[in-house]
Parts: sequence; C-alpha cells; structure tokens
Amino acid sequence: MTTRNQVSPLRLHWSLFKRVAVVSTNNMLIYRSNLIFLFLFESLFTFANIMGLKMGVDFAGGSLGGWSTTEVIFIAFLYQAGHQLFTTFCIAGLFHIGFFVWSGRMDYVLLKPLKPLIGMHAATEFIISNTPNVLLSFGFLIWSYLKLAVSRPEPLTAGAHVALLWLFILSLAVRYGIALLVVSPAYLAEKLAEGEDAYWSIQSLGKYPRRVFNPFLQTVFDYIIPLSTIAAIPAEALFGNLSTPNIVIFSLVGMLFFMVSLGFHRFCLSRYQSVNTGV
Amino acid sequence: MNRLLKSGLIHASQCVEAALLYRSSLIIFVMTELIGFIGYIAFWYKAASSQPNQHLYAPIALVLYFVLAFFHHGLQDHAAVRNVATDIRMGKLATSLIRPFPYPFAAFIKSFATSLVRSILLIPLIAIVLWLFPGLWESFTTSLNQSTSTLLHYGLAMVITVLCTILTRFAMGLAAFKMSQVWGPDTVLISLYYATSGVVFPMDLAPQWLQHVASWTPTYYMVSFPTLTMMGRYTESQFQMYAGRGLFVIAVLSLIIAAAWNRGIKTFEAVGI
Repeated sequence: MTTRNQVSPLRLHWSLFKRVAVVSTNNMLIYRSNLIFLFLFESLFTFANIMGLKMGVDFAGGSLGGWSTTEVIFIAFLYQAGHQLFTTFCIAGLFHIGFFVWSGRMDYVLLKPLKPLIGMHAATEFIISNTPNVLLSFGFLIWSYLKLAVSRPEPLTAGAHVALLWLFILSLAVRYGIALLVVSPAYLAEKLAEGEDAYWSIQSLGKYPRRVFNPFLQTVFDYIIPLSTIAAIPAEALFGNLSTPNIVIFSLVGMLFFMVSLGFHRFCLSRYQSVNTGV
Repeated sequence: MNRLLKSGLIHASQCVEAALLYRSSLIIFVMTELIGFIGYIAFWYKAASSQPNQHLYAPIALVLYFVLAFFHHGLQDHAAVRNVATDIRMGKLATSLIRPFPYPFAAFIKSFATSLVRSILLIPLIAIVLWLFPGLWESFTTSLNQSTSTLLHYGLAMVITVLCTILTRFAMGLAAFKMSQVWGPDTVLISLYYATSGVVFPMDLAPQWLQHVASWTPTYYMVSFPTLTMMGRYTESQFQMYAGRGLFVIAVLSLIIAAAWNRGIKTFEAVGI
C-alpha cells in the first residue's frame, strides 16, 4: 500500500535500474574501443565453443547420445544468450564484491538504503559495451531455433515454448546463484576473494547435453548444482522430451538452489567485520 | 659480461623464489580450470565412444589429449601481459632501465620462472591422474614408445612452446607504450588462444583450413603443438613443417618486439599514469 508521497519499491528499483544503465552507458562510451574488443573477444570465444561442439558431434557420427548437431548447437546458443545477458547486467556487481570487501568500500554499500546485493549493482556498472554481443547471441539463438523448427518432423507446441521461456529465466537465477556461492566467501576471508574464475569454469559445464556426463555427475548437475538448468533442460523442454512433472521438479530445484545461495550470501555477509586491510 | 650474468642469475633466483611463494594461486588455478576440462573430457569421451569407426581417436586417447593439454595450459602465464603493461604505464620501467640486467630479459625470466614452478607442481598431479584413470598410463606410454624420437621432438616442441608463450605476451604488453590500457587486446589474445590453441578441441580434428590458419599463429604452439607431439600424432615431415613454422613465428615475434621496444622506449615517460 502506498500513499501519494511514497514511491512503490518496484518503481524505486526501476528508476534505480534506469539510472545505473544511463550512468554505465555514459561511462562506458568513453572507452568506445571496448565495444570492439569485447565484440572480438566474445565472437572468437563463441566461435571456439560452437566449433568444438560441432566437431564433437560430427566426430560422433552426427548424433551424440541421441542429440543431433542442430540440437546441440541450439543448446550452445541458448547457453550463450544467457551468458551474454548475465555478463552485461550482473557480473560487475557480483564480481566486485571481493574487491569491495578487500578495499573497505563495502561499508559504503551497506550504508545505502538498499538491499546489499542491489546496492552492489547500483555501486558498479552494467557492462553496456557488451550489448552488441547480447544482440548477436539472440540473433544466433533465433537462427538456430528456426533451423531446429524446420528440421523437426512434428511442430513445437505452444506449451513447450512457455516452458522454454520460464526455464530460461530460471537459468539466469541459477547462474546468479552459482556466482553468489563462489563470491560470498570473500566476506569471510580476503584470500577467498578470487571467485570469478571458479564461476566461469563451473557454468561452462552448462553448455553440454545432459547425457554427456556419467549418471553420477548427471544427477549432481540435475539436482544439487543445477547446471543442467542453464541450457540443457530448457532445450529438452522445448523439444518435448520432458514431462510436466519433470519440468515442475527441475523448476523447484532451480528455485531452491537460488534461495539457498541467497541464504549463503546472507550468512557470509553477517560475518563481515569491516576490518579489511586493502593492501 | 660477468656483472650481467651475475645480475641475471640473481634475478632468476628471485623470480623462482617469488613464483614459489604463490603456490596457493596455482592450487586455485588447478581447481578452477580443472572443472572446465572435466566438461571437455566428458564431451569428447562421449563423442569418441559414439563414433562409428574408432580409427581417428580412441576414447582413452582423447582423455589423454586433454590431460596433456591441461598440463600445457597450466604453463601459460596469462598475467604476463598485465605485468609488462603495468610496468610501462606506472613508470616502474624507469627503475629497470638503470639496472644492469635489461628489462626485456628480466620480464622473460619472470615469465619463465612462473612456467617452471607451475610445471614442477603440475607434473606430480598429472602423473597421479595418468596412474589413476584406467587405461590412461598405458595409452601414454604407447604414445611415447611410438618412435624413439618422440621425446627429442617433445623437447624441441617445448622450447618453441615456451618461447611463443613468453614472447607473445611480452609483445602484447608492449602495446602499453601506445595505449592507455591493454585490457582489450589482451582479452582478444585470450579468445584467440581458446580458438586456435587446441585447448577446447584437438586441433588435428579441426577442419584443414583452421589447422592451416592456426599454425601461423603463436597460440597453436602453446598447447596443441607440444600435446600432439608428445602423443606421437605427427609424422616426421609434419613435425618438421610445424616446428619450422613455429620458429618462423618466433622470429616474427622477436622482430615485432625489437621494433616496438625501440620505438616505445623513445616515447616512454617515467612519470607514469
């Protein structure tokens, strides 16, 4: 309930989001060369990943554990689209936590009238220079989707599209959760501030079809650290390979994982002592 | 000459000592990078197990490829570009210019010490993996015993690998003479490394055009060349061809470094930014 003089929290956060986006755009356009470098970096990196996956499926004779080249490429582009969105809007806020704790700037973030994580995102910038890569990755995703849709004998259902959209949004939350799990220990000790590399490695396992991994790892990636939710499960939902109960279970696992990671962050933050050296 | 040698030896011992101090960073590196390699190994193992004719690569040979690739990947000193660029930008290079040991050699030794210490720490880990993974040790020894010259070739390949690794990053760091930040070119180098070094996929399975293009870049010689040499996957003539190209790449890199250094040092301002 809001009165005329109060601003609803949703509106407040929306205007905060716009402000960070504007400030980020202004700041990052000073370094226009970053647009080119980030574009080249992500393009070459994507090329390497897609080339590797295509080579692998071709090497396997055109089908990898029942997945065709087109399907594996679709998973890879789905993974890539989530990766680019996460890179643009989330990494600066999350991966500066270690630096902010180490340098003592976290105190200033905590003094803001915002939730600590939102305060972190507001105190840093969106990687606006990565916008071309976001657009390009969604372009490739649509292209691979159309190729997939044409190649399938039966049409993709409307329900499958809804499931894909929902699980894609959930995949962003799972990425956020993984990042929180690896950066939050920075509150406990300065030496645990290098979580970023761990995030990139862990999430890279999300670009493969589930059957690539042995049954044990598959179970871990399905139910404990839900890396399958990053791309493989949303793709399977689109292909109609998942039953509704399975979609519900994977959704619950993803949401639970996100809640647990938020709780872990809250726990680590409660141990923050504001006595860091900054040297 | 004696003074130069003495200062070089002192510098080298200090670099090794400093590199040994950062053992924990190697542990973090191994833990984080290993996770990514588990993905490569799982994917390629599945692909090799599914292939209709297992004549190109047996599944175990692909696991061996990525284990050895992980070792060579571990020798890469990705921080070298940043270190050289920071020395130039901050003006720290000025103090090195009045020292008896030339800065380019000092930077070279620093990177070499990092790779050396990493290799000392990684070799036992790789040996354990080879020993524990069923069939991997047999595959490894079979590769080594394919020809009497495999080890000799590997020694030469490693010289080319180390030179390409260090010279490429030093050349990139020298861009700081002209640019206010080398973060951009460095990220492009990293992505080129992933696309053409053979760290994501075995380069001998890549299309011919990609193998050809990659073999003219220094990144090919950082991982793919020593790994495939150790696995005995080159014929004698192929090895000679790639070794020749590797030496050519080193010569070109040396010329670029000499030109960039001579031009850059004239415009260098010790004030720094």
